[in-house]
Amino acid sequence: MPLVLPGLLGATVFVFAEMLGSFAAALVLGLPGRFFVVTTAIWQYTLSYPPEYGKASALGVALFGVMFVTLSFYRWMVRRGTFATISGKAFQPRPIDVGPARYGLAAICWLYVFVAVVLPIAALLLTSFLRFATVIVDQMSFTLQNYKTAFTLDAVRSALINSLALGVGVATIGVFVMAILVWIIYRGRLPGRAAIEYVVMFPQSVPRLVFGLALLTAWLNIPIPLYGTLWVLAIAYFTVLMPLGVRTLSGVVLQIDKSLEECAQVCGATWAHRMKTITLPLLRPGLVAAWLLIFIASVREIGVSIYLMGPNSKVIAPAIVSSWSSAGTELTAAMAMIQTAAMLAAVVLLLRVAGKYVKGV
Amino acid sequence: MSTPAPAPPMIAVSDLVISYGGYVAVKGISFEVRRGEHITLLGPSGCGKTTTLRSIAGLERPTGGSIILDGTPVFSAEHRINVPAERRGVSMVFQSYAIWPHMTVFENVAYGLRVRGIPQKEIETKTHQALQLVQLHDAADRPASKLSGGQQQRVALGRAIAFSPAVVLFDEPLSNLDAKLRASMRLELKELQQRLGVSSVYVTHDQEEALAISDRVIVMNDGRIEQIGTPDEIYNQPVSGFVADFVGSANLLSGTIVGSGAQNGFVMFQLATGPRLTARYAGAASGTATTIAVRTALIDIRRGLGHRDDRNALEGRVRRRLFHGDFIEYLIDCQGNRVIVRRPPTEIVTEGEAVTVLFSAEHTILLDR
Repeated sequence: MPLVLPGLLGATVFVFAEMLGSFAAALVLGLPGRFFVVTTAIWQYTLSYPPEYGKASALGVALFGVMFVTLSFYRWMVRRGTFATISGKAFQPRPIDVGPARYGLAAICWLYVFVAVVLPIAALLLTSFLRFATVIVDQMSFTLQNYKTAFTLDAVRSALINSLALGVGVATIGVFVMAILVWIIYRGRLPGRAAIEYVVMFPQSVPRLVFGLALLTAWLNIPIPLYGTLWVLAIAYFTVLMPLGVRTLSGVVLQIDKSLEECAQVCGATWAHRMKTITLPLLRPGLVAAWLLIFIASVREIGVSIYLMGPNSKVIAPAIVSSWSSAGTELTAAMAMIQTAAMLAAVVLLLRVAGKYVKGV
Repeated sequence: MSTPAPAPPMIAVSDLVISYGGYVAVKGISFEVRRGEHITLLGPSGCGKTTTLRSIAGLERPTGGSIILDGTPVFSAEHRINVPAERRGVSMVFQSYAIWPHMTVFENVAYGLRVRGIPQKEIETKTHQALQLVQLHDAADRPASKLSGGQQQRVALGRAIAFSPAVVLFDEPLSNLDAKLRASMRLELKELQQRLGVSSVYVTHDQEEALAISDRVIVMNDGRIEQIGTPDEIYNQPVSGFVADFVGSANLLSGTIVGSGAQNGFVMFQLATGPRLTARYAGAASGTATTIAVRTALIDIRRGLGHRDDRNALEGRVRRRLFHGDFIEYLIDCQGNRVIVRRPPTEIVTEGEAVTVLFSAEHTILLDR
């Protein structure tokens, strides 16, 4: 227990901070019942007429303050201790024999998966084919009309394309830049790496919505006409997803024992050769994973997008949310299914392409 | 006829200082490794031995002193020289083995040869030679990540010797193996060293290993060298309480020199608790030396009191007896001194019994410090 305690506690604190800043679920589930959390309250303030940006900003700064403190605490906990599991020694996770309890435990796991994942998706799928959303089976009438509408609506199509393009672009450039950053932070000998790490991880403690509001205010006042374009979204995604990417990649880098590179060096390999023959091949699975994570996260992104998308730069996730409040549930469900399917297709495609490189590592 | 100038030592380390921020890990040490010699840096963890080894390899940047490899300075604080590790041409076996999991055994071992741009044919011959030497020729095409600890150890060894380096550095290579495997690898390593004729520096905290495989042992403590000598010298003529205690186990007894000083290399020594003993005078001992060392394995036990011969004698009572298998350890209260004695399991004395312990003056070492 003492061994895993920092990990458990760390995860708890981290999830707590994430929950504080979460927005999308609270918006869809909470608003109809007038059940506000901090983030949705901010959203409401900016929607009211005239928009109360002052109140929203004040609330945002307060939320940011709380998240900043909790995440600083999390960082402090995680910092103590080093982690290296791929050390060149044989390493295998060891299954624990829990006896007959294993059926019970497995059942609990599956139940969770069912309630948390299968059930909502199934409901969504069902709704997307319904003419009217209803739970009374007798009155259900199935149709493909929702999908037809979703596809023919220009806004939906362009939002989907924008989202996928942003996802690919941000993930590709992001992984490249973040890998370099991670290398500097965790393996370099540069003075001030701790400061770089701090700056990189900083967006983690800023709630997405607050960050979007901040960027909105900033770009409205900066005389470079980026506002309302995909570029501002790309910049925002890159910044808010940086902690995610850096955390994923650093996990991989920290897992690679330093002596694997040192050994190559003593064997006579130059820096470039070491990179090519040792470091990159060992990093490859991690790079692919980070790419996927960033891609998925940016297609799903809603907190910053909701403030930053313009009429010509719609993205899918906020579009779904606004359709929820303006159009019907059924159409929204269809759009959500399209987004899910598109993302799934992209992931499968990437795994196919990357698969032949990842194998054998 | 003039005698030819002696070949320079393979490794010459002088006044080496290594510090990290405010912490000084190595506090100015000097030693040489002759051609074909096997030197071991022995000491407890944190004594600076691994740091010293890594700075010879070029993986650690010292703050002061110099390192000369085969006559070529590779590090010199004074001349601002620091040749990067990849151009020093030494080889190293890492404690963690550092096996590259994404390559086969063959590719691991061939790495150093490939880096050197050697023709493919030669790479194959030399790699297979190295694999033969470490008895892994059957596993050449297996993925390196699917090997047992002992096999990984062999891959690391094969990789370290494949490109025929003149110097091989070993960083606690056997510390991750179980006791039995460690003993057999120790023997193999010693044979391999002799066959290859390389010079080596070996780092370990295991004194048995150090004594068994080295030509000379350097005992380090707290960033400094305590003693340099052959295994025999280190074991039989320790210069300090630290060496006597760390290398093998010894009883350290305090007291003062009495009488006119050394005669034929021996002095009279009076223990603080009263009894007088004859102790060997190691050479540099000053009149202020206050400690003698007696190896636990070199003490005889006789049942009953009053036994006397030409050896030092102390009388006492057995307080504890611990069975260790290969030997039995007795804790004996001797006239106010606590003496630990190790005897073969064939001689058995019971707890509480009155005994006389006897040890020759030859094995009673007056320590310098």
